[in-house]
Amino acid sequence: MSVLIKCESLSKIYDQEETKVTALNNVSLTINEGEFVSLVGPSGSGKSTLLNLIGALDTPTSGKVTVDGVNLAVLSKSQLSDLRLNNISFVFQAYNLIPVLSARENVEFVMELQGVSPKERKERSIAILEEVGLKGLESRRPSQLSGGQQQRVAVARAVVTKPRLLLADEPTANLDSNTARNLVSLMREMNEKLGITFIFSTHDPIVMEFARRIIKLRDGAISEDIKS
Amino acid sequence: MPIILKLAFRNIWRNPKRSLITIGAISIGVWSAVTLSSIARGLSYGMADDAINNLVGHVQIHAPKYLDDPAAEFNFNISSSIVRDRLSSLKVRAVAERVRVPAVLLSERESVGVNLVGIDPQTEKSLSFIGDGVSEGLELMDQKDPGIIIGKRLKEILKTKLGNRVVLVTQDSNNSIVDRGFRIVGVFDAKLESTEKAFVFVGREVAQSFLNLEDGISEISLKLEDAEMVDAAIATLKMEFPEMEIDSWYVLEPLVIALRKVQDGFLIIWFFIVIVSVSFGVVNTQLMSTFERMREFGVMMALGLKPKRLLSMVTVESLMLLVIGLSMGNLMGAMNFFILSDGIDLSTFAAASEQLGFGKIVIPRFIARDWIQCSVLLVVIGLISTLYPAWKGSRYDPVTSISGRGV
Repeated sequence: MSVLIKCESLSKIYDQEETKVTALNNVSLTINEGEFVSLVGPSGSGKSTLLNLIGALDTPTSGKVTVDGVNLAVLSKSQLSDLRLNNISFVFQAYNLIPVLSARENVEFVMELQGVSPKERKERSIAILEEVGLKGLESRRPSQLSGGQQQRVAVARAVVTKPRLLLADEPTANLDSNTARNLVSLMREMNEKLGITFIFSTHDPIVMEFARRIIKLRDGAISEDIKS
Repeated sequence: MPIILKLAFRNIWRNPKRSLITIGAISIGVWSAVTLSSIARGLSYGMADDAINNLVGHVQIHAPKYLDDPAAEFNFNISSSIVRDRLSSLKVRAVAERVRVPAVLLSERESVGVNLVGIDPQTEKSLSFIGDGVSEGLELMDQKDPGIIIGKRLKEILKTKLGNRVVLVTQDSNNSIVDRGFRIVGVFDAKLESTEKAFVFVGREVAQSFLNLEDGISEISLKLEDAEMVDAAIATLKMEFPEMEIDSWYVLEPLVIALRKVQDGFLIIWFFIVIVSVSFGVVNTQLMSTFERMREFGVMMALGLKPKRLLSMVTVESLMLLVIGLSMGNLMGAMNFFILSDGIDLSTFAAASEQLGFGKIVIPRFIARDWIQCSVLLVVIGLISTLYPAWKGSRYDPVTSISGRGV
């Protein structure tokens, strides 16, 4: 397996009024292609911060993030946008979907930004929605879907573009355990089928159950790195 | 449909009440601007039409010095058929030869200063108001008719009536005082009372004989089918008759043109004020809308939507609000023309309006340039003002936006 992500001595310090908060403190790690990784830790441990840095949503105070051999620090904002568009997908805890678009249109959204033809977009989005168990719900708007269904749409959108990397920030936080289990199981299936690298930030033991590698964070640093 | 257009249109209707209020404000602003401009243009164009119909015509020909001193001695001999012939490349609706001098009109009880106008009644049809006929009595039959036609208001001032005799006193072509009696055969009604007081009409040959003019005339007045060709007509006539004084109606009626120019400036200022006021509403709506969607924008940028495209999405939303409001406002303005097609009655203000040369009835006038100016200004100023909320939206940081902490 080749190295997809390399973090070297990453630190992130936030200025908050009169204090400085160290969200990440000198974190180094390597993630290979195809891994199913869970970042776990209490609130404030730096999970989301690490995810944001890997996902090119934020820039480190010091250190380096390399994705597929490319140092993110040398990329412009536009290039980082392109990187996210073409190589990295996201599933967030909430507010994933665009409310005025239907389930199918939400899934098509990123493909449309990529310039995929309307015919292909439609075919792929219908196929992926069927795969995630939402056949027949393509034309429903997010407000007409349950929380679990919305997250499935978000997963469908995230994987339909066949990204190298999928980052999920507490994707099961607002779901009941049954729904959460189904969702994570689906993601694991996508990981195995499509070879997409998954990195979760989570407190949820259900997610940890499915993870093949658990990286524990505390106070902005890695305390444990467990591979199963 | 490109995603930006689809998102922009649907986002407008996320909060229908707010969008409808904004569109309503734009519509009312546009409607007020076009209504005011159409009424203002109705006033000024009506004034111009009245001036043109009030014996001025589109072009007049006089002997040199006549305009400074409109005496009978300043007469000339050019026939209307020659004029028509010289202007054969332009469509001439009517040409009239007239005798016109100041005079005093006396009844048995009063005397008034007037303009004596000797006409051929046939050539005045389609040219001036007197060609439309009289409200009492008879029109002049031809240019040899011995009768006189006076205005209704003049009749009241002179305390006389149809059928009575009046006396005209004036100076003839030799600058001798001459007088003659005329029987009132007809009374005319005009849009302005000042016109009814100012002019009296006799047959042209009768006037020529009265003033010892032989074939001389004081003026030629002509009307073109296309008012835009006035300058071309002037240029042609000046080449043909270089010794004559040839003027367009806007030189002869400078107040009308001055009023139009003032109006042009006033309307632009009015449009600007209305549009800026309306734009504040649009800006407010869009600021609220972008603030409410901060998280959504954060997610979209996280997924790879570039700030420029986000800016264009919000700008397109603003453009849609502006265009919908503009269309409704213009439609409401267009309905004015049906509702006000009979004109607005200003008789309550008649005395004041007459002082300024306006008639009692104002018919709103559609001037395409005004509507285009208003529409273009609205879109341009509206878009410029909504760049701020669009820019603000595009500057949201994805991380802080998604977390709900804002910029």
